[in-house]
Amino acid sequence: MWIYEKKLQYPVKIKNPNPKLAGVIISQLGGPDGETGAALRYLNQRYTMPSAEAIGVLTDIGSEELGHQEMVAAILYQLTKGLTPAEIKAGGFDKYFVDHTLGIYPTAAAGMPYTAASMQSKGDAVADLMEDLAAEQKARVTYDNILRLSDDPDVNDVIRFLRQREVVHFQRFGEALRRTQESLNQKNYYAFNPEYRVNKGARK
Amino acid sequence: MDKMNKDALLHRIQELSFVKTELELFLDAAPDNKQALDYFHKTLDALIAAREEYEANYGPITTAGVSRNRWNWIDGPWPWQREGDVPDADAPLNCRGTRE
Repeated sequence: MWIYEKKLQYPVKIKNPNPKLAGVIISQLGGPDGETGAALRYLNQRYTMPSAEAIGVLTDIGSEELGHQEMVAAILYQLTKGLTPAEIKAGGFDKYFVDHTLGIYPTAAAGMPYTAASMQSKGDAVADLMEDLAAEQKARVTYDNILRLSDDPDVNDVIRFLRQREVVHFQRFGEALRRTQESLNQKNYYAFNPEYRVNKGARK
Repeated sequence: MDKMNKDALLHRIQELSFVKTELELFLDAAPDNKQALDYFHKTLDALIAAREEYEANYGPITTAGVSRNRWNWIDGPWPWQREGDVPDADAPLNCRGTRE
């Protein structure tokens, strides 16, 4: 069960509207390596994980990702509030505007709506934690690219915070993976699925 | 009230939480209803007391209720698990997915 906290994890206070920048940052809401995908990935993978540590890390990082979704949405809201049609056209935001006006919709920057096809829940702890490590790196790269495209200090301050969270999550997933691999039977040299158990242990 | 067992107390918390949720939704759409607001606060007080009793005896519901001695936040069973589903933390995992 979740409870909403009426606060952002980190403050978002942007002075200048910028439809062009909103059009790229939106990928971290609904793109292939965005916060929506991160939250869904971790919160679905956790159910069948074989260790308490992995369940804990996935639950708590997944919950934090929901908060990051809200922060990215807050950036988009502030970057686009009050834009005139002329500004929307000049900023290349018209293709988004025609379908969503200034509503917040999870889509990639190139227009692909959010799709769960960009994530997996494989039912194999090693495979899933490996994916999670890659996901954090890919999200970090996306934030790096946003910083390359943005010169707004108000925006960049928040993006740097979100980027750093990807780095921290990568560390925690690395520890969860290491603990999982260390708990494998010595004969499981190749780290085959430690999560799928059909006979012993599942039900008593 | 006598000390309730874990399942009964959890059931009580679920009931009170659900009443609270219903009142939240109602009040979101009817913020001027004083009768509902009073009922909300009465429910909230009972919920806080029930949660404190549960966390003191049976483990944390949020990390704010975690032990001062040990990080018992990750202890099973998680809400979707049955008692027998809790992985044995000490048993190694083998390539057939069974534990030794």
